[in-house]
Amino acid sequence: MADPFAVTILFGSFILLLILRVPIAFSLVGSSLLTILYIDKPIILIVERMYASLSYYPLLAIPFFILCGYLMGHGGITDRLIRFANALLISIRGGLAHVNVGTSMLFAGVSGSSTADTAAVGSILIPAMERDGYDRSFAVAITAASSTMGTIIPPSILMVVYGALAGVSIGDLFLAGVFPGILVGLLQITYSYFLARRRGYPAGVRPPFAEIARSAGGAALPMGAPIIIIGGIIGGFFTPTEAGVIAVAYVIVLQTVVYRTLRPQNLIRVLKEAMEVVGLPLFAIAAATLFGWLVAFLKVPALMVGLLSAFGTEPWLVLVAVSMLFLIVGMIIDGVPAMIIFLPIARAAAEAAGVPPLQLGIVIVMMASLGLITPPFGLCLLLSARIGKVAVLSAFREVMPFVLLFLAVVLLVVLVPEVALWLPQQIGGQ
Amino acid sequence: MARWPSGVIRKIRWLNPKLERVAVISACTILVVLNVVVFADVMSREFLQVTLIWASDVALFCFIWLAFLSASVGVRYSEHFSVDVLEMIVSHRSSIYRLTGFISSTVILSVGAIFLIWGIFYVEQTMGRFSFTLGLPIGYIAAIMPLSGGLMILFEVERLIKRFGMEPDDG
Repeated sequence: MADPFAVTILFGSFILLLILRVPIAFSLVGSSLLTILYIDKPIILIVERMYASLSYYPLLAIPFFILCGYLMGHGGITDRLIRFANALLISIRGGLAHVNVGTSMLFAGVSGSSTADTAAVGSILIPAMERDGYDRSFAVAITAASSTMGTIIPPSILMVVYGALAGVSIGDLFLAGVFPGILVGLLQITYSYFLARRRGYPAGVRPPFAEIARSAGGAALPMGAPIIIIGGIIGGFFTPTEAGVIAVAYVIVLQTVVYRTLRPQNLIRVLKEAMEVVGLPLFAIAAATLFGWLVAFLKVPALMVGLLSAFGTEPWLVLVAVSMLFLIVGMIIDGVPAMIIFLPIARAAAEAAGVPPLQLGIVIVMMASLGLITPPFGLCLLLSARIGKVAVLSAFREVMPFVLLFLAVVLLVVLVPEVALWLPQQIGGQ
Repeated sequence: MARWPSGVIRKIRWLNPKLERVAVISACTILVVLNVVVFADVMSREFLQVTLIWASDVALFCFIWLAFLSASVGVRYSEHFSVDVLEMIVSHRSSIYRLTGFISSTVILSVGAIFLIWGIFYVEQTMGRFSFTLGLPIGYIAAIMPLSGGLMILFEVERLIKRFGMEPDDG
């Protein structure tokens, strides 16, 4: 039986520390410390659990994919993807908005990190959109919203972590993300088109066929990365974790040998930038593992499964309840720590209702991705707003329709699982 | 506002940039080694049919050191993610806002102290345990815990001094 007072200390002090502006990772450790003192466990548990949490090979994918994203932003690959998306989409009304979404879709196919996508694409396209007459808040919103595809279209850090935690094939998860990811992108383009007509956003000049062909040629090698990565995983040549390092090597070879755009001094700068951000999610993961251990120790999952079951025992109802849980949690903490803490609860409820683990996985990954643009802690929205120098609140008003569209795709995956599961059933191990 | 002894502040100001530089160079080197080792393992396995059995141990050690070193550097620049709902309600200059900054620093310092003190105990405990393939004492890898705790404390104290204007009288 869960000790209600200990559970209150754990969650209550966590929320209080967050409100008091304590960084999320430190709030997780702080609330865990208070709970450990209350339940009279040794403090060394904090060090033990946090150390042990990172002794976990699949998590190595995180620094690899972050580094890959930073490399792409510095060595001209992003420019090539933008040029190709531009050639294809600029002549549609609201052209640069579509280019933004299209570039993120292409970027997502190489990098598994949404924040790297926001940083790389936003720094180029937000100023360009503003020059072209788009509202700055909209430019910020679409940059953040399109970045969510970074963790749905494979490869994806979130999928690697989910697969490792839940024991689900990461290759199958990658395949399951393809159609929902493309669907999110297409819906964003469609919405932007209608908004562009209403607000009078411009269409660009249709480029000659030669430019389309040239830009396609220029982007062909980066766009080949997903084939190498997914093919390599499904073919058993490397693990999904190792796929991250293959992506890094591929991008480095492209930029140093083929395009010759990445100089040694730039490489050092990229390494430093990537190193500076790598520790932040990893420290949060270590803190979340400690917090998650206490959640399990206090038997919170059993309590929460009862609450989730109140929605009903139909698989789709349980999935809707899990989605709502992750929607709320995603507003406060990052996707990976959220998964570590709440996955046991979601799995227990899903197993009881007979939800396929792969479907549960894709729904959770999508909701964790959505958390990147939902305030107050929507990392991509915060980053994009910082790049575009707009208030987060005004950016959020513009991002709200994208949130609703995203939720519509999640609901589709809940109600029609084949949208996600068909591809892994055909190609993967399903 | 209480002032710190000027000698301590000067020492921290002199020491922290150097410690940060060492931490950044070490972490960048570790990031490179991590990539090279895992890549070499994949290539060796696929093309030479030789598995580098030590590779997973080295990669994990690099990963753990990278994570905690980078997290410590993040403390110096206040880069750890936080949820700033208070910003929407009160002014940056209000005393409540300053108080929350002080509370935040206290929590970070406490976590640093736990890492430092209990980290040392943990290192002592794990010196007798050995890694799977290299046979290296786990204590060497766990040593990053007290090390990062110490760095967090020094970096956060520096931020406290800056934030609350606890500068030495003689400059």
